[in-house]
Formats: sequence, structure tokens, C-alpha cells
Amino acid sequence: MSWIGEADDAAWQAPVTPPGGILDAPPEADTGSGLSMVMDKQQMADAGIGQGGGASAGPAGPQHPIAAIPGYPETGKGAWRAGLDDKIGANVDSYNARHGLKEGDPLYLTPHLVKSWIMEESGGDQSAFESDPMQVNKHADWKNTGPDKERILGLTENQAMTPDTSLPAGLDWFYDRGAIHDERRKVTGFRDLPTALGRYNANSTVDPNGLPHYQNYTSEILGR
Amino acid sequence: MRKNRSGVLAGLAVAACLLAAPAALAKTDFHSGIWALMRAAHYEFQANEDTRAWHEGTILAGGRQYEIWGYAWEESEKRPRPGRARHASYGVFVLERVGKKLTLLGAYPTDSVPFKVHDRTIKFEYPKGEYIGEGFPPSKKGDEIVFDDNGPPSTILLSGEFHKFDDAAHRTGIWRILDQAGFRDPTSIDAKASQIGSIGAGGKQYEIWRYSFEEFPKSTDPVLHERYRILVFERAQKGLIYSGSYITDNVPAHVEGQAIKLEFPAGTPPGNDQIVFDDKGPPAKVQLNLGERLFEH
Repeated sequence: MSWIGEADDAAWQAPVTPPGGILDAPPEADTGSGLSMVMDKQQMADAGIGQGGGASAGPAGPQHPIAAIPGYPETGKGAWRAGLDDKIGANVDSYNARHGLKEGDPLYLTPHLVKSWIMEESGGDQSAFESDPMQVNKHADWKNTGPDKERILGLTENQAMTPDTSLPAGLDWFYDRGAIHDERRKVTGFRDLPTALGRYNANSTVDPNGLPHYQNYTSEILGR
Repeated sequence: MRKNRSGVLAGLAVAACLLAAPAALAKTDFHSGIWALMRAAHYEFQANEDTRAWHEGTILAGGRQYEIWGYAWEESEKRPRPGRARHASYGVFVLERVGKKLTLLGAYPTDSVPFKVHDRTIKFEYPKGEYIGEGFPPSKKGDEIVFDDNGPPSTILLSGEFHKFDDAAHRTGIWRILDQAGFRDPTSIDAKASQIGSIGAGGKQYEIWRYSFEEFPKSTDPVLHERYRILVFERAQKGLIYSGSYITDNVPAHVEGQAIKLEFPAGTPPGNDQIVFDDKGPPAKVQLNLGERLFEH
């Protein structure tokens, strides 16, 4: 398996596995440094080492941190993974409000779920994370999905993406994958959350564990 | 030590790929057959073993013969990518056969389910339990694309999801010029354009086109529902160059001398129904029936 960046990190070389596999994180958010084994939280904070809250994303850190996603450390060279916490929170709020979604609705999203999803899409490459974290405007996808993305999301082919364009576009693309329309184009119902996430990915090739990739994709995102 | 080992492994992997490449590439010639037609119509694809296309069947409708091809791009494990997710996309290509000649008409994006061709219908084999719902006429169900005498429908509804026919005609000619110039309004199948005349001004030759976009079917989504423009292209040695456009109402237009005349209803104030070119070419702004309009580049 080839990855962009951090290819020497064992976590990144592991194949996709069902829950219980080697990618599962310890119960507590891990810093990735191993220091949590020998230092308590206060000692780590005193040493300037963040723990799961993304405080190490920058000098100020996010105002509304989202807990680190297991397997995706946010300290040291992984601090960038906390860099979008505030934008994720704001975009999830905006998405739910835009579509009138409330807790319990099939396509209702939480910041934690979206952060987990973003890690699945771009959590291994800082450059991708900081440009198109949802990977919604991936060039190779454009041939088939481009006209719909142009019509629904206003994206253009080869558009330079930023988190401010990627986050709302990715969430609305997910909403469109999850919504059921009638012949007048009116939304008449919704698929369940795993099905909608699976349709966002859409890759039906079989993974080494014998399941279609989109099912593993969904399990990974929802299982963290 | 681990880095060194990784480096060696990476080197071996690259060497293995290079050794394997000729055999893999020999399987598909991405410069002939349907791939050459796709390239000519500017459908981009990854020319590697992640991409495949296959002939699935033939449809006879309205006295024409259509060849139906499946298309799949499935990102493989070995591709560098920024996360664990491997993306994929699937589609159906429609070609028309006239004698021995094949012409690519366009493609539909589809779900990742197998399909078969029967008579005038492309039938998708959704698994049990999957939502199917109604289709968009002439299709009755959401698991089929039905051709009528006009050929492939412009709009389909598969499993509750709308898709438009991504037709080759809207990827070539002035549509390609507009796309490459960053034209901001839709250039897909619901967009139409026709030349209404030519104007010579300031030693340059301009082609004038009328553009319209009307969303079909009309939705309540917060998207652009309709747009009308007058497009201006400059005729250069190498072909047409998009100069810019004016937003207008949905009214006919024609060219008289150095003016574009818009056929507004009676009662339009004098002069507010035309765009007059001068030696500098198209004016930067004009006063039309609907207010001031800028020449947008």
C-alpha cells in the first residue's frame, strides 16, 4: 500500500481491518508519543504535549477542540490534524441547520463523526487535509461525478480547494448521496447513515477482509 | 533502521512495478477504441489498471443503433492517496453506430451495481433491500434507463438520485472554449447556445451567440434555475476566444450592423434594447430594459 507522507509510520502501513484489528486505538486518546505511558496528564500539559484535544494545532489551538480520532495522533508531527477542529464544528452546525436536521435524523452529523470521516479521507497527508480534507473534488472522480458536483455544489474541474470550500461541498455531496428524490426532484426520504456514507465512497471492490471497500470505509468512520 | 528498511522495500516495490508495468499495460491500449473516442471528447480518465470499460449491449431506438458500454474506475491499494479511503466511480457510456463508424454521445454516472441491456432498457441489478423507487420518464422504475425514439434521455433517476446525461457535444466546440475560459454558468446538457450574428469592430471580428440555461426538471434546491446571456467571442487565427458576456432576459436577439438588438416587449425605453460595439469592441457596461449590465469576463 502506498501512502502520501508518513509512510514510515507503522499505523499507516496497516491494511484495513475490521474492528478489533491492529488499527484500533487504546481506549484513551493516544498522543502517538508513548509518553502517556510514563507521564500523567498534568505532566504532559506542563511539557507542552497535548492530549486528544488538539491544543497543539497552533500557538492558540482550536477554540472548540474535537477529541483526537484514535489512530490519528495530534501531537508532534501530527499536530496539524487538530487544525480544522473549529471549521469542522462550524460547518457541521451550518450543514445541520441548512438541511433542517436534528439529532436522530438519518443524515444528522456530529463534529466527531465528520472529523473521523475526514481522517479516513485525508488524515494521512497534511497537504490534502489542508486543501481538500473531504476529497470531494478529487480529479479522478470528476469524469463521472463532475457534472453533478458542478450543478449541486458549484464546484469546477481542477478548482483549487480550501477547507472552506471542501467542507460544505463534501457535506452537501453526502446529503445528496443520502437523500431520496422523486421525479419532481423533491426530497422524499433519506437513506440511513451507513448507506449514505457508503454511497459517498462508492467503491465496491473487495478488500482483503472479503467485504466491499465502502463497507469497511463506513465501519472505520463510524467505529471510532 | 526502519527508514532504511522501508527505503529498500520501497525500492523493491518500485522495481517490481516497473517490471510488471509492460505486462499490465499490454492488456489495455488506452489510445485506441473507446479510449480514443473518450480522449477526443475530452473525457479524462486514469490510463492504468484501475480503469476498465466493457461492451454490455446494443439498443435500437428511433431507427438508430446505440452501443452501451460500462465504465469503472476503482482506485487500487497501491495508489498513493491521502487517507485510507479508496475512491471509485462508475458510469455507462452511450455510443452511436452508423455503419462501421462509432460516435461517442455521452455518459451517465451510475451506482456500483451490475447492469444488463434489454431491448431499449439498461437495467441495473440493485441488491435486495436497496431503495429503487420511481424512474424519470420514460423510465418507470428507479433501476432502469429507458431510451425512446429520441435516444438516450437527458435526465435519469436511479435509486432516488438524479443524474444528467454528460453529453459529448457539451464538451467540445464553444462549450470547451467557455469551460477553459472559466465561464461561471452551466455548460452541461441543459445549456443551449446558438450563433445570432457577427460584428466587426476596431479591426477585430466578433461572433455573437445567445446562451440559455434552464434547469430540468426545475427544483426547489438553492441552485441556479435559469440564466440567459449574450456571449461574445473574438475570432482569432487559431479559432474563437471567449471575450465575455452580458446577462439578459429570456428574449430573442439578433445582430444589426454593430449592434446586438434584444427583442424586449413593446414599451422598452429607446436605446435600452441594444448593445452597440465601438472601436474598442464590446462596451464595458450597457443600459438594458432590466437595468445596467456589465460585460463580464
